[in-house]
Amino acid sequence: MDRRPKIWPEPAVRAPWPRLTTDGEDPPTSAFGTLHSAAATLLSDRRRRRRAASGRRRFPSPEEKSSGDSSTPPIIPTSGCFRTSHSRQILPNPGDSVSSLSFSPKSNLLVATSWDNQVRCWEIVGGNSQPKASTSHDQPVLCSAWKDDGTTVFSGGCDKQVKMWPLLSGGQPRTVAMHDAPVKEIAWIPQMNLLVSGSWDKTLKGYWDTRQANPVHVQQLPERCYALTVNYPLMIVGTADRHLVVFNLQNPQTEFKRIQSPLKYQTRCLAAFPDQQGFLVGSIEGRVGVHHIDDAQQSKNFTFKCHREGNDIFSVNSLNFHPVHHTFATAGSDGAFNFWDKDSKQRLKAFSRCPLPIPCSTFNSDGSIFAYAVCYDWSRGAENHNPATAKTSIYLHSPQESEVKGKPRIATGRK
Amino acid sequence: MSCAVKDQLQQMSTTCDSLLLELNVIWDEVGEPDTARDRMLLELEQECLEVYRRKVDQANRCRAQLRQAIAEAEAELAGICSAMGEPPVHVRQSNQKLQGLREELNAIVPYLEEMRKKKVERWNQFVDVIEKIKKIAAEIRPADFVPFKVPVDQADLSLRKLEDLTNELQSLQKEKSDRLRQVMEHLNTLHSLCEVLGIDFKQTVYEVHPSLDEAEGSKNLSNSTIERLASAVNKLREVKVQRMQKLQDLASSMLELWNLMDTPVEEQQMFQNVTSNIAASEHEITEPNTLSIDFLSYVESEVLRLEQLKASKMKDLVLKKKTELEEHRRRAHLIDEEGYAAEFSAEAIEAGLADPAMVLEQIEAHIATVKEEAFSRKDILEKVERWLNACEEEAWLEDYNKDDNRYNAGRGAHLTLKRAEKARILVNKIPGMVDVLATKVVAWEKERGKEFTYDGARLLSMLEEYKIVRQEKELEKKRQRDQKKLQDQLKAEQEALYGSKPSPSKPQSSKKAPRNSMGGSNRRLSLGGATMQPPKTDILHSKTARAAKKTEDMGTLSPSSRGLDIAGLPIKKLSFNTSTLREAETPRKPFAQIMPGNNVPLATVRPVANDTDEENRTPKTFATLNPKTPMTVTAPMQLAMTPAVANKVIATPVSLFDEKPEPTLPEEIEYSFEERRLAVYQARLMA
Repeated sequence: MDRRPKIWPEPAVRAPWPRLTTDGEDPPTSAFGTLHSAAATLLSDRRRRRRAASGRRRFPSPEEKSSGDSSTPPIIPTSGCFRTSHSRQILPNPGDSVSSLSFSPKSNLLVATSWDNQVRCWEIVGGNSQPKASTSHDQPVLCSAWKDDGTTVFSGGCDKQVKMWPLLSGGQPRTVAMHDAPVKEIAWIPQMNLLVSGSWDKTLKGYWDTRQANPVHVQQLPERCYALTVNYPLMIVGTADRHLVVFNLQNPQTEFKRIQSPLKYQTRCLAAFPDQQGFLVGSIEGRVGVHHIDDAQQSKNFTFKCHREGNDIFSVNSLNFHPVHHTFATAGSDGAFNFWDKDSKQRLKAFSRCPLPIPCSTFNSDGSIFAYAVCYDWSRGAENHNPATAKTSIYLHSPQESEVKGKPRIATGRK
Repeated sequence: MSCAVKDQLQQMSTTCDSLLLELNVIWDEVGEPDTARDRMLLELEQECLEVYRRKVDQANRCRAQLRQAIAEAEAELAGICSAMGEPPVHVRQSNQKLQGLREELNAIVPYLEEMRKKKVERWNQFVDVIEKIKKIAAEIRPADFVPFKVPVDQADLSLRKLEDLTNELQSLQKEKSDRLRQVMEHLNTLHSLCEVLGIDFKQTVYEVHPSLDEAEGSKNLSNSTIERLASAVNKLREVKVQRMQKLQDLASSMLELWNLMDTPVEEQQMFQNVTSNIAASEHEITEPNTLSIDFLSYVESEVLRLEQLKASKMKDLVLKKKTELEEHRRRAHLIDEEGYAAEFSAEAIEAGLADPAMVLEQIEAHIATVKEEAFSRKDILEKVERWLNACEEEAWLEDYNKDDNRYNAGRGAHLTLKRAEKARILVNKIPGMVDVLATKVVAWEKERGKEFTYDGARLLSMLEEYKIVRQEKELEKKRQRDQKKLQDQLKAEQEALYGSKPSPSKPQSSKKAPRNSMGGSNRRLSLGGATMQPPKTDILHSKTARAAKKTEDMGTLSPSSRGLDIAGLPIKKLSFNTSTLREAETPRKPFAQIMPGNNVPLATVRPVANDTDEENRTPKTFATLNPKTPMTVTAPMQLAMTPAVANKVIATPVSLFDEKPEPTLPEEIEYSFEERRLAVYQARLMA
């Protein structure tokens, strides 16, 4: 305690991207061996430190997982392009981490915003991607949203602005909204012809069709906006300090409800149910809460853990409902994405981990394409970021129906 | 000849003589020739003769006329007399002394007149009777009625004839009245039938014969009319019988439904007149409109309504019975295979696939069999209950034994002591209980030829399992005893070294893990999800544990942690480690700090004020449904309680700004990945 606390602590593990797991002999996690597991954790911690000191890097691969053979950890070259059998990569790669992905509601146009200030657009045709257009902000871009007619893209970022980019008409982007702090989330509400932007300046602003310079309404938020989801008439804003503000857009001027997140840790992402009865909330502590708005449905609420490996817990970065089957995808800092069915409480499909976190993902309008970015998401801070080796890529996955179609709950019989 | 006539004749002859004398004189004077005189005289004589002859003829003719008139009158009289059947009046004989024809005639005429009058009167009588006969005949037999035929000729107007006619008339009248009565009877029945059936009487009668409808005036009483009336009556009666049967059917079904559904009396009252007729014979139903089509359809609609009500009630009933069945099963700890649940599904009834009554019967049958089975199992079940209770006591005792403070005198300590004493006795009895139970079960299984299941699991295997767990426990106990001996030794050594004794802190885990006397297998309680232990006590413990931990974090190491110091690690680190250890014991653990040298308190490790179990609250039912080995590719979500292992989050939350070297309350502000990244980004820009 003699040292002054450093704001940016030295990385404990000096590997550029340590994807560390416990050793082969995983401590058995039995229900009543609490002490034992704790000791095992300690042990593995020490072991890890030792290993880190020796500079060994190790990435789990699907083969390793399936075979369980971990005596010779395969080294996946970090410079190589990670490719999974089920995904296709979009080229060219963005220059820095992708912050948001969004598909046009009308066509297979994919927009990605990234930390290199760019907003890029690809067209996905038959599984192949073609770069279409790009524009840029002055600062890193954090969020994007399409207008419902598929002609225009909104993007907001650290330059505290929201830009409207009439992509299809080939027009130039112009600023349509201003905040006092970076804009973290934007959404287009077609039913109200309204653009909503949430910012770290603790406000949520609504702009009529961007024809007016002044916002229609400024909603004060309890904290900085971290996440936003809209499924008319339901809108939920997640902020720092685990606040969740629920809006009924039929009465948009007032908060419908303000609740504490059912999860104990920072809200990372939100997704409103397709039936508007509730929402999913993902936290940085590898956990997703299924929450219903109506108090009468509180008994249906639950949380479940995901994006963990052994004792390592990763952030849940993205939650996306499948537009057709109403199952959902989670993507996390562990580089994995899973498909789930909240109604049968099942994981429908788990995919092998990518070597880098998945900070954002999205389905296209008919749910036939699942796009996800694989890049560093700062979940381990600056010390784990090496700009020289950092690689950013975007992948497309075509989900099979069996992966995303909800299954009836397994009849377990009565106990 | 009278003297006057003689005188006249004498006078005439004198006059003639004088005239002849005069003529003679004249002639004498004139001097007529004798021939002329003679001729003249002849002429005179002839002329005189002529006059005489004419007069005589005339008189003769008059006499003949008189005679004829008399004869005619007499003949007429005789005719009338004979027609009237009276003895002829012989005026001539009786009036022998009458002189002259004229007198004779005069004598007859009054008789004649009288007789004529009589005859007219008689005729009138006849006509009267005949008219009446005709009229009645026309009413009775219009078919062979000839309106212009006079049944009698005028020649026979005798009283006998009249009598005959009168008799005929009377008989006809009698017949008519008979028929009239008959018709009236028919009409009356017809009327009552029409009333009951709600049919227009006038219309019906008019259809039979138009004349019947008229209030006065002659009615057609012919056979055909009567026949038609009779057939109409019969027809209506048939209709009535039909409708009555229908009504009675409806009424009986109505009564059934009432009985079935306990319909209130007020509702029944409305249909009292219907149900009262349920046993009535055809002629007893006289109330107007009781059998009208309207009324029938009204009753029918009511029955339909009741039927529908019944259908819905039946569903309720089926559900009720179903729950009753379930209740019986539950009480008998009988778990059946799915089978019957689908059999009695309400959906099937709704869809009309299953007849509710039949389903009801089936359920009743099931209930009966379940009851029977429950009875046969009762003995064993009681024993099982006792055994389970004993197991519970055993579990409690075990926990209690682990409590090092158990002998501390406190409120109610003596009660606990007593309980422990009793529990010990009970626990000693368990093996015997299990054995008895096992033999009983075996006997039962032999007798029945099937397995004795308890809430779906075979009781024998449960017992076996219990035995094994118990053995294991015994072994463990033994081991623990050995260990304790070892620890005591160690303690003694330490005491010898440092002279202090570790405070008898309560091991946190003593009450933590819900002890399960049944070992790995869930004790099958019929309470379903209620097997989940209420985490209340845990909260209390974890709270106190956390409080303890907080004080430790302040840097002052508690004696217990000091006791752990033997590992020889740096103090700071050790305290950290112990804190993670402690955290591990609480159900909610904050992020563990893993980076050595990173002393910044974790932003996300802010103590959470609310109850610890909130996040991990999972639907109870799900906990019980959680399959142990998912057979499908899909995996169930990890909804269980957070395992009490010291997990750590890879994210290293840090405070944001460099210019705040000493964040006063670093725990107050949390930052997202993006915010931290931006901070770095901006710092680089500035650099």
